[in-house]
Amino acid sequence: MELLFASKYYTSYQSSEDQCFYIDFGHKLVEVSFCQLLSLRYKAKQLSTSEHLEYMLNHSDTTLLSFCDKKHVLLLDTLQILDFVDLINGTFAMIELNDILVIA
Amino acid sequence: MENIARKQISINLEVMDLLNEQIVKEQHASSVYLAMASWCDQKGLFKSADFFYKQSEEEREHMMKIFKFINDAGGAAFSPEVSNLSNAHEYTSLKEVFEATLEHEISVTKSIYNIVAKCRKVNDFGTENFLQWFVAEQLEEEQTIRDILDMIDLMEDMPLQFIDERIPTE
Repeated sequence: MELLFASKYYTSYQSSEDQCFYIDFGHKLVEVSFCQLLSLRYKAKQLSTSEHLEYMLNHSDTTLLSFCDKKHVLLLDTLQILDFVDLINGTFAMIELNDILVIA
Repeated sequence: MENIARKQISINLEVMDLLNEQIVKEQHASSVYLAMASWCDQKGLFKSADFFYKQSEEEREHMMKIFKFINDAGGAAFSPEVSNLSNAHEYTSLKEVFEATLEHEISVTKSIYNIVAKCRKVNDFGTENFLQWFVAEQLEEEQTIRDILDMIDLMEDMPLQFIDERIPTE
């Protein structure tokens, strides 16, 4: 597995051998396809909107994140949400950088 | 490092985000035109109502075209949420309905141009090629609405029924 990006709490990898990605959430390592990674990117965008963050801060300060077709569920607080968003943004930035380097 | 993501997707991700935003805009336009059709139907302006029913279907077809393109290219298209239609059901005149339509079409055209510009910036020539159909379509849509507004101006003093009869439905 090759390291893609590490945020404060989470780490992403890609595996050329398995042709998929992995996210280490600390307590578990989750295998995700590229499609599922795109879905996580979409969820990260939704979770990081000011409306959602404001709602979290004013209410329970927790969000349930289900992904990989409801195979996994995570309970995240605001700081973990922000870190998750950081991980997803960093992961896709590294994928894009990799694309540029491969072309070059 | 092998680029396994590129094997899965043919389009640029930022362009994909813009296309998903365009899906929302096209679906919103479809809903607005449906509201306009309802307004016209309730006023007995049946040709205008037919025009907007057809426009609504066309906008949905545009939305579906983009939706399919994203998924076919290996991306992820997201079903659009439509909101903020509270003002779409109220107009003071038929002219106002068509003026609002023209404004809507212009904003869609600008949005398409914005995506084409992004495609050029990130060398996403496949999506740029796909969007050329939309560029031509938008020019045609704007022209149609402008022609109707010209006709309404020319026939301003005529009964509304006469104007409605001249609204193109084909």
